[in-house]
Amino acid sequence: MQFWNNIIQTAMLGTKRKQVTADELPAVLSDAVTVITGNTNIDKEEQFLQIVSLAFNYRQSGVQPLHKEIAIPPSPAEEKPYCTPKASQVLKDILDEDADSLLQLWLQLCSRKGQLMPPYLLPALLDKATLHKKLRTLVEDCMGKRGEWLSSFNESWNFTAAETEEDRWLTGKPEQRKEVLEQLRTTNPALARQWIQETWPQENANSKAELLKAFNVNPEAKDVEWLESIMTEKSQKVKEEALHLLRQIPSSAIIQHYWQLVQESVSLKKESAFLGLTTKNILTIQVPAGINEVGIEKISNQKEFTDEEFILYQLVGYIPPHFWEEYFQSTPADILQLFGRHKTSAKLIPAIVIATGRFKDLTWAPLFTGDKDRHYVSLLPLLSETDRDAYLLKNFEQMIDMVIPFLTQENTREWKLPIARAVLKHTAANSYQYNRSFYNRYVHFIPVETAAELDNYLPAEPYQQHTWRTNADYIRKLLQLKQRTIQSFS
Amino acid sequence: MQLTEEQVMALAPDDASRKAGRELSSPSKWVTKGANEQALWGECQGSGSKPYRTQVDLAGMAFKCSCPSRKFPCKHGIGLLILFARNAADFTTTEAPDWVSEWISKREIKNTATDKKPAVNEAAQAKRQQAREQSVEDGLSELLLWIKDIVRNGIVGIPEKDSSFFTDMARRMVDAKAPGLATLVKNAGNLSFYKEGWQNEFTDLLARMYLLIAGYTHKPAALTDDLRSNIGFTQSQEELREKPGIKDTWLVLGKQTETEDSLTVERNWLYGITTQQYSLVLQFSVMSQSMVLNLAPGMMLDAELVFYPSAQPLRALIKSQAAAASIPPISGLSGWQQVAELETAYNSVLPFSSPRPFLLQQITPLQYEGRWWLSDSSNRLVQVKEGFREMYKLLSISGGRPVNLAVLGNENCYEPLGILAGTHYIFLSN
Repeated sequence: MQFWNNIIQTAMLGTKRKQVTADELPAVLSDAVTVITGNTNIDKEEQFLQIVSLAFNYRQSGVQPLHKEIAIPPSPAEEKPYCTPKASQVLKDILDEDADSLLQLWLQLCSRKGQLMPPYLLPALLDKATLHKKLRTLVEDCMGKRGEWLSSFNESWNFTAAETEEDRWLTGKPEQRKEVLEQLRTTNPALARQWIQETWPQENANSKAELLKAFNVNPEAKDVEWLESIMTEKSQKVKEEALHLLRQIPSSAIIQHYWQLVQESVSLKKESAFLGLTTKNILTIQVPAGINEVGIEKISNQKEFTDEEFILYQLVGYIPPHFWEEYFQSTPADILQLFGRHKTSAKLIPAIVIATGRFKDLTWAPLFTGDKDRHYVSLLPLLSETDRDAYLLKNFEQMIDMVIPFLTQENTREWKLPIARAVLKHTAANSYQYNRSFYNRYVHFIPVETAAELDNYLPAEPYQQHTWRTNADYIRKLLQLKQRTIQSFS
Repeated sequence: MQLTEEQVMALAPDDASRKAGRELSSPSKWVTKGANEQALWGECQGSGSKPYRTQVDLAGMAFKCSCPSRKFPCKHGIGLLILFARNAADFTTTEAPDWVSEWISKREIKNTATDKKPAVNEAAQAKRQQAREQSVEDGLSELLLWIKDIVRNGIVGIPEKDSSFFTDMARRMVDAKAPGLATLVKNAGNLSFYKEGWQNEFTDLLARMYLLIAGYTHKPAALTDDLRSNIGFTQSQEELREKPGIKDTWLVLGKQTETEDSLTVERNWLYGITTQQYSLVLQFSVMSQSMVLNLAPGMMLDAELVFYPSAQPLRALIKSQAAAASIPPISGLSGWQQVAELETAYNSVLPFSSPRPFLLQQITPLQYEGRWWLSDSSNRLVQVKEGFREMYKLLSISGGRPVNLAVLGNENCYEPLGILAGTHYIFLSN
């Protein structure tokens, strides 16, 4: 619309500098413009305003839509069915409530059912997946062909494009690369090792140390040779990380060396009992002097341990528990009993618990759950669900500082009712610490049955009662959403 | 009237009410609840000893609640309607309790009662009218001088002007009893001068102001009503109500709310399904007072609308309404060429018309040269209004295939309002 641009040009400069002429406007307007400019009763400003008004009306009346054959390929037909309208409404309510944990649950159930989310919610879900990486796979599962098609119009949704793990490893940001490596360690540890070995010479010290942390996932005997080879690196950080990893692998030279030292210190001796009628096994502890190992503190920081005992305590913490079984040719329960018989050896039992957690020994883990004086959170992931819940319920108050972080961060399944009740009772009594955002994040762990029981957890202290009532209302609402989610896919 | 949950949400006055309403949409919150053809009611246990009594007139979509909230509808009204939208079968269909039937009867009496007008002192009224006309004329002369001054010096210096340059003139227009012009002046001052193309918008506003000034001075008979209403003369709603209206089943295409200086303006865009007439129903509220009508996009109403006198009637008031008994087949325009012809016809008789709604068939959203466009079945395209936030929602629903689309706009730029799929309307809120 050149004529309008001419008008704007004059408007910008002002009529004291420029006037619009008839030849700057469409020919059909020239008669009207001649009348306006010939009107000597009005000044040139008003003449211009009249021409502007005329052109404004002409422009508005004569707009023709652009005629162009442009087509975008339509979205391919879906292969899966859409979820029900009821499920769609719940999804919308979850998004409105910003309840990401329930969103994950909704997506899991939808994916499991082989259904798709409704197209009108796709943009909101793709935005969510852009922000929260853990939702991406689920969103991809439930977005169907329409979602793939839609993503091609928005660069920020490009995560849905087929970017391989290897692409992300080679071109991603440092945290993405570490993430890829961690993921690969769970499925193909050897390939993860191969990738890092290939790029190792090009990495700087910080990056090396960070990437090595990914090897905390599934450390294995095949890692040893390479890890031991990088112990000669200049960077102290890299060496520390490598040592940390080697001390998690029973076949590593460092663990074998520690075991040798421990064997020299702990031995079995037969003693006569009942006036020489029988004999019994006792442990003798004799720590050789002059042990000076990398990563082992030489001076005790605990008053009940001498320096030598403390060195041995640390070394035992690095001995895989099953080594003892071979060494003593005995069962774990008997070995533990043996350690418990003598005051000095009993002091080493917590070190065996540390080793049990470090080497993820499922056989030894249940043996320590009867300890009344000490409670070990490191055992929780190694126990069966039944044993774990029983252990937690028995020691709930004593272990509370460790229980909630474990149940919310390391656990992946919905809490059983007794556990949920214990958690709610505790969180209700500490409603300032456990506020709405806590329940929003972890409602997927809370069984819906607890919604009817929330009033039972009303704290005794009057000042906490109002806060809990408000929190309880909120939990009920979340649980209602959770119930609707479950029902939508049942 | 059975509303969808989305439509109920559109009735809420703000986000907080939406959220609170949703919290109250659980059956456990309601001690009693019931419904019949006319009304919906329930008793909600609040913090007090007695439950709040909430009732909804389904025909007129009016609310009443015994809670102390100043919001309208309150969270209880919203919660009750959501519950009803989710599961109407949960509501016992019985005779309404006394507290409901009394209110409904009062509303019916109020609706049918003719307002008794106070005696009018015609001489005093004529004198007031004359004074107002004079005041407006004086104001328009001042505004013309102000515009001429801008035009003489050029608009290039406008972005550097102090805000008082506009607010002073807007105040002057309010004093001159020309609030319509005051709004145009304010709009000119509120333009984003950092945005490319502000010069076009600013010049358009100058043209509108000039057309109103010149029109009011020359008084063309065909445009008298439009000129007066655009300048800010009000039209008596009582008088309008006396006139016969257009009866039709009206589909609410869109709802836009703007608040400025404690005045909330609600624009409801309606489409008469049989008459294919578009209308704008305006509502105003000061200091968050309640609106009289509760309209939500997608609602279908059997209503009688009386249009304000205009060369191209658009603004209307609802004289009477009830929930639509049945929904006739809905048709729309065939494409943008038809829209262009209608626009030309509107502008040829009303040179300062504002954006209008249109319902079109078979529109496909698509991307071309980095911008979003709406294409009709004849490959004619118009641009999507810049800043339209629900573009991906529209695109996702369409899947690259044509949809029946309601839009609002003019020239070659339109804002999508909603998608019509059969009789189901999906509002594209912005």
